[in-house]
Amino acid sequence: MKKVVDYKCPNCGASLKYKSKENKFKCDYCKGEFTLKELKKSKKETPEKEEYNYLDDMNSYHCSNCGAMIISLDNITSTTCLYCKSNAIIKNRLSGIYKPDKIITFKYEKEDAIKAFLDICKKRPLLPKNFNNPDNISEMEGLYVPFWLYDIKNDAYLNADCTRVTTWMDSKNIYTKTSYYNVERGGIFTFKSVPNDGASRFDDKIMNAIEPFDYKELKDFETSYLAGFLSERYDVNRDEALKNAKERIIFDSINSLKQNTSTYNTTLVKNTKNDISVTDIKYVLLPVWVLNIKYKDKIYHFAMNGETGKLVGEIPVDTKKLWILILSLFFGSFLIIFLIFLLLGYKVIL
Amino acid sequence: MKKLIYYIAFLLLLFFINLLPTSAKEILTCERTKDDLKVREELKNNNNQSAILETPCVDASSKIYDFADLLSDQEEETLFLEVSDFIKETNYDLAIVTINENPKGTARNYADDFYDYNNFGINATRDGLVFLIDMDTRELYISTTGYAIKTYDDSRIESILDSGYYYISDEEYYEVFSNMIEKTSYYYSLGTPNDNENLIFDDNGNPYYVREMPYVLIIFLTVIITLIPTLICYFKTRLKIKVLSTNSYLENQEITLKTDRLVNTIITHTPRYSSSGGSGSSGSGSSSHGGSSFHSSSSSSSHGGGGRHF
Repeated sequence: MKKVVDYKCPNCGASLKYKSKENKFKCDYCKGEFTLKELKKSKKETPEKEEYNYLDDMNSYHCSNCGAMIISLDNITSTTCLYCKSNAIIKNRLSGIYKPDKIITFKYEKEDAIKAFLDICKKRPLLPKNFNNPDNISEMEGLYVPFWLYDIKNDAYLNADCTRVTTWMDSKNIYTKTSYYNVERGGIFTFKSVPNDGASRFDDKIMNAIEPFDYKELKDFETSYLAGFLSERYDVNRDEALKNAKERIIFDSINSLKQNTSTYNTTLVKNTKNDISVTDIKYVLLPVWVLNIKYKDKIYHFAMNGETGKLVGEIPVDTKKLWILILSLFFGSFLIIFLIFLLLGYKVIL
Repeated sequence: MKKLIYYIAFLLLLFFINLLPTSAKEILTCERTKDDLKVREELKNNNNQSAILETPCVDASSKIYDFADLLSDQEEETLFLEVSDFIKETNYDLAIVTINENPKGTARNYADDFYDYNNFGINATRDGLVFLIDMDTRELYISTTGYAIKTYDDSRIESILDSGYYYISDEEYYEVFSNMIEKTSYYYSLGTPNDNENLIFDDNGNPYYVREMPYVLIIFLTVIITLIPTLICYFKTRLKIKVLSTNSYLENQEITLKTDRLVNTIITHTPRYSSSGGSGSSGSGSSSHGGSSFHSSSSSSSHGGGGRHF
């Protein structure tokens, strides 16, 4: 049995949206504003009918508001009804091992995300045509992405061959002294809350790039925060997601040890060891605005950190525009330079 | 009675005239006046009237103008034949002039004006040469006009002067001219010197060097002008995802092991001053720019050539 929850306005009965800027739930129709406490209180006073549906296999639910069918993928934990735009939160998918420990809520609205995207498209002369057209941009969706946060301790070891070169001279000769050293470095690196996304449909690279999140904003998870946004539960488990986080911290720990040998002129790493222990894992939902734009059969992903407003993504160069630029510059400047030389009295001799 | 005296005096005059050197062959001359300058129309109305009046007016077909009387009749006739052959062969006019007095100051001015203000030259560009021995300024001079400027560049002029100069101190003036004609004819057979390939003539027959389009430079500039904005646009447009380090999550870092073992030391030395090679010999000698040097004369037409004092 799965349960779809929608928070209704105690005044008019319309769907409520959570606005994290004010930490309040707002009603778009009657402009009512409510805190979480107020909502819970009003719920108790007028116990809401809970609606059930039994179409488990098909991943579909009846909207508690209008009765339309909501079809959602396995991992979707909150969505909106296509017909009446009321919020649907699938509570069953947020329980048990899928219950997030913490959440950071959206600080940036959709308009902010669209504006940030349009800003990043500005002053790019070879931006592909239609890349920033309104149809594409309206696909921007706010999404609570499941993240694993790892507290990791790494006992790292590095063995390297280093050289130190000194030169001096007397009246006759220049002397070069090359000293060869075998160098060992070891260190304990303690990382706190290294994030890695637990959703397979997002590229780890782009999700790493929107970091960091301000963990001070982490609050205890409440289902109601998801109202009005899409959210997912993890489909990459904690051990799998750890691989990527491990790679990153190993790279950075070894790099740090290597920098410890920077007094040498050359450093050649021979051997490294990493003893990693994970001390704590948290399952959190982090706010991300995502936008996918298709250009020439390739999909370009953009993501904006919904907490800090940092937008990342890849923008390709419009090859057609590039060629037009190259050819027009080439022939244009050739013609102009040719004419200048002609005016200077140079002649074409065949 | 009076008539008789005049008659005898006239006969005596004729006798004395006959006593003058027989080599003084008559040069056909004409009179220039201010109203009748006897020059081509296009040369009039310049501020060159005095220059025209100072220039003797001669029959351009005579070719030999021995005002200084340096050549015998026989030599003049032989030279005339040589000059005629030269003209036929090369299609360049040639005048041979000797003078004792030069009212124009320099051999160059005299030779140029003599050519311009008499009817010398073949074709519209009035191609031809003047060989002048100026006994006043003691200079042997060659003036070239029209396509002769192109055929005879400075080094060829020098070489032709060389061929005549050898005989001038011996006062063998026929040899001077004869050798110069031979050399001039020889250079004609070699065609246009490489230096003068780019020498062309404008509508007024004045020569100038054309500069050939520097294609390599143009392509080079074009590529730079294309490349720089293209690269700027490319890198301004493209956006990449940057991989971040995890250092912001690093809570604590503690170096627990730090050993540095010296394995080996190698000291090498090299001499402080690299041996210097022999001092390079600096080339001497003036670099001669190729081609023909030319100037415009009082008639504002262009002449090339050169001369040498003796």
